[in-house]
Amino acid sequence: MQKAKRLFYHVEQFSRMVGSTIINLPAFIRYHRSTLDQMNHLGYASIFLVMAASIMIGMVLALEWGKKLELFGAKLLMGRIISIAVIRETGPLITGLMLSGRVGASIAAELGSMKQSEQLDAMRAMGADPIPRLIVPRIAATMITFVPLVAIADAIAIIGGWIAAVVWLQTDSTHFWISALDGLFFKDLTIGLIKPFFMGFTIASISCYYGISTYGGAEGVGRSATRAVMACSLAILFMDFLISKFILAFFYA
Amino acid sequence: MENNKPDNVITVEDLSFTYGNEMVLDSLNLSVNKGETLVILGGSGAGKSTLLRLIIALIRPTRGRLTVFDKDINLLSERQLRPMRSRMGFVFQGGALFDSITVAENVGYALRINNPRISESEFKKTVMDILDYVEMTEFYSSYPADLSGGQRKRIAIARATITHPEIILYDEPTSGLDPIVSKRINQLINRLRIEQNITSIVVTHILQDAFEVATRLVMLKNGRLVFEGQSDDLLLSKDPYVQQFVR
Repeated sequence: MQKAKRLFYHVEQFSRMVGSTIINLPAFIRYHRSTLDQMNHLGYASIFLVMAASIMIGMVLALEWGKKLELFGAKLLMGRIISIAVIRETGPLITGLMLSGRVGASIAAELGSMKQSEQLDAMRAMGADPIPRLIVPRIAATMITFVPLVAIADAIAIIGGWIAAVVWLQTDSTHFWISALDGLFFKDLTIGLIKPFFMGFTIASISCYYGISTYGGAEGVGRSATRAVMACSLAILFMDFLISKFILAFFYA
Repeated sequence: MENNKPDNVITVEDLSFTYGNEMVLDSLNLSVNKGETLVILGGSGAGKSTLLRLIIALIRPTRGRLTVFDKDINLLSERQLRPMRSRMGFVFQGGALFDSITVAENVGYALRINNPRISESEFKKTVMDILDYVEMTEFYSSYPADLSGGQRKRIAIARATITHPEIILYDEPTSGLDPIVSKRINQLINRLRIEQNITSIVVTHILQDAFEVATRLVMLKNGRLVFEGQSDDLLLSKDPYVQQFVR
């Protein structure tokens, strides 16, 4: 009973924070300096991580699918399979999971330590609302940077797949690219770029909530960061399923 | 309901606050007069800091009435509270300075909230004046991480006073400081009362500091008021808890 009560309390508080954030979202223009700082800190600094993860995923996809396709004499379809898989699914998902760890922990720990050192209370005591000043720039920055990060991840993963296909599976380079581009349609790109927009909002809002609801000193900050990463990772998987289901029902009905 | 005592700036009536199952404040009655420095004494967990947080509405009471500037703050929304909060200052226990911005930006934070279009020259002059008042001008461009505990407290006081508030709430302003630095902080609190007629509420558990700044004292034990009066009355109190605290 007590647990259910606490769960409802958190759901209510989270909904309030999200509602207030959506109402205050245009404030990112007013606090553009803070938003740009966050874009640099959360987005630009994640590029290397995302690129490293993507190239590996692209290579693994090519190796796994290449062997299977070879059995059916369909190796020429490899480019198509990799480009569709990466752009529609793997790129946003892997980027989302990587950023859940990096961005989620960073936001939750930063806001958590601000809460613990009473900086959030100090802000309220001076008549300032922490939502537009602290939360909106982080959420806006994550949403804005997530889309190009996923685009970079997609491109790098396909390049990784191409390298593996050419070097280890002796696939013809030109055939790979023709197949990769032939299989792509505008709606695939749309799906691939809609997902990161919502995923960015999900990661940032969950992490912000865990940050501002931190309690229990330094241990509490660590606990919030860990919980934020776990919750963001699960939410990303759920969001991915939800968006895919919705888009498949809507675009492919 | 209008407050019928013109000198009262804060009135606490039958105020209770519970956290989970724990009663932190229990049916508290108290009033604070304009221009006085009320010191709230008590041991750890007595509810002293909770009372300060209730006064500035960072938390809401479970029961009772809390009137600040003739307004029942329990009836005000977060937005309606902002003008009231701009008439008050809060000095947090650890200073609560924003790590990512300079001392100047910390001190002038409330200036930018109240007047987003303030010119840089006016901002700098106002901040320099208040830093001069707390004898910290050389730290204008420093970051909070570069400051000692006492310096952080003085910057926190500068930040709380920059908008010329009518009430300042101090949460353990001298805790963790050596006696010399504590004396400087106490002198600053007294100067603000004498020169600017600021009403202050000081929460502390250090008796010597309480005697240095108080015009009136109250003592809390387990969320209940066990003493109210002057310094001399405190020393003569027959209450066993007060006697134990004083000794």
